[in-house]
Amino acid sequence: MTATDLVRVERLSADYRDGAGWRPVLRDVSLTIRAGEVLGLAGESGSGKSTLAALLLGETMPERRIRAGHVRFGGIDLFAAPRDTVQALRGRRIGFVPQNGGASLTPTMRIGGLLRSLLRHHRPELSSRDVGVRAERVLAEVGIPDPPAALRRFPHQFSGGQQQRIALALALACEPDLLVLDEPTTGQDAVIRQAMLALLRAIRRERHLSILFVTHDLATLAQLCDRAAVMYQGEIVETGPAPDVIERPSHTYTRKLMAALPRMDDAALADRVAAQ
Amino acid sequence: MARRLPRTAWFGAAVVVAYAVLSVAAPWLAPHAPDEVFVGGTFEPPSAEFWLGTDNLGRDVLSRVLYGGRTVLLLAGSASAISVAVGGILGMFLGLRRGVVDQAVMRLLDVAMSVPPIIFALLLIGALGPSAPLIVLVVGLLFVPNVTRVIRAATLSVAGEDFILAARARGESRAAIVLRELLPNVAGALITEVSIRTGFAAIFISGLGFLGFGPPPPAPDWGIMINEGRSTIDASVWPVVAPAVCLALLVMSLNLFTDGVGRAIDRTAR
Repeated sequence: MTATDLVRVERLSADYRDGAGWRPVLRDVSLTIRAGEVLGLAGESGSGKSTLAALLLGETMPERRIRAGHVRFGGIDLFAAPRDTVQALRGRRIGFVPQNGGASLTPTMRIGGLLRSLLRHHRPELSSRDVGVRAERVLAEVGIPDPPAALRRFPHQFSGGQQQRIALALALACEPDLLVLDEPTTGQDAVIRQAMLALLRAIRRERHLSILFVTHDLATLAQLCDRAAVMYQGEIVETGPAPDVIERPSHTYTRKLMAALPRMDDAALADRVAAQ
Repeated sequence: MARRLPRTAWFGAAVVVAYAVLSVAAPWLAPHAPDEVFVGGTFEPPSAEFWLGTDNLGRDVLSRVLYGGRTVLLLAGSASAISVAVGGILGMFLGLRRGVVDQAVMRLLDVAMSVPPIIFALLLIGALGPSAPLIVLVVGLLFVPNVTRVIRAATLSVAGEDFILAARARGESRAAIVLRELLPNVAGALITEVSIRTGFAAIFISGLGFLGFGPPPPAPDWGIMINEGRSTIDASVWPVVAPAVCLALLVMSLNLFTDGVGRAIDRTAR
């Protein structure tokens, strides 16, 4: 594949501040995400994968600091570019679905309000009719039944799985080039997880966007990703085509991760969900 | 949330609304002018003409209490509005800003809070002379540190929530996050503060009146009325009891309302 690189993470080192002071959370991380590619990022809790995902949004916060390196999105250096430029990318060209999709929806706003304010902010050229049409269409795309009625409801009126899908709809609403998913299937039962993976595969087919899929579950990686990267203690210890990383792990840590995996028959389950 | 409000809160709200209506309608409801003196009619017991009797100068206690409600509600309400407006904006700003600015301002407010408020108020009002706008301003500003602390704490807890981080990840502007994500989610704390501070301000302003630092006489102020009737309480209890009961009922009702709203918010948050 000769596709161009959409995201380039170059020798990125970052610290995180906790009660004890600054401690390194990313060490000399380099990574590329090509246009149209799904990259899986695996690793245990605390390995730095969520921090890396957040930094792809150019997000620096008081408790994080960049020690070295760059993150370039479509050629724009996210840490050097003006604030407005980076802010305009977020939500518009980079969609982010946080780990707890339900908690990421403002509880005091209706789904319609959330979607419409997002679309109006990033796509001011759209007429209010178009905004409404797009809001309904993206809800339908993520499988929310009866979108016109859903737009009038508040987040707490949906189930956990539906809230996650609505968070995905918000990330997709402005037709981003990159979708960052931070553990979108964590804490869900196997049926909902398979349905979510099926949805992501469909979205990928339809939209040809790039996806960074962060997970600690190597089994889901195999079902969705072209390439996989494994993180351990803030470093990327292994990258390669997803089947290779999972079938023939070269690093000791990846082998341990694979060995620790409970062998559930996810493939059979996927077939059942697909049959429904 | 309104449906989950306990009955005591509705009672509190009803009393406060009744006070507001009676105060606004005082000119039509009061049987006499508040400063009308009935010569030879001092310390009259309650009668058909003077429902709550008359005071040491022969003025109708009921009329004075009704007009006094206007003074206390207007002054306490305005002071509370000032404190919540200033403290609310400052608290939200600090809660979102965090860092050195936040710490510096909070320590300054700690110092301000260590000065007993009544001393501070007496100093300022004593120096500049009692006038209604000055009382409102001083009392309002005195409560700013407390309001700032509460709203800052509420902001801090909301600012760490996933939906604020998600709004930032969607590229929303800071103003939009404050108005759409933050404000509705600290509104409960703001409502609670308005009602708490109004109650505190009512007591505080009446206290100032009692000490002779209230609105200048012959303004019908409950604190002044209690002070005037105090020395002649053996002649008639009504000039003291009427404003005292009114003040106590007002503050109690405000507290019941505040408490109910607070509990309803807690339950909604579960």
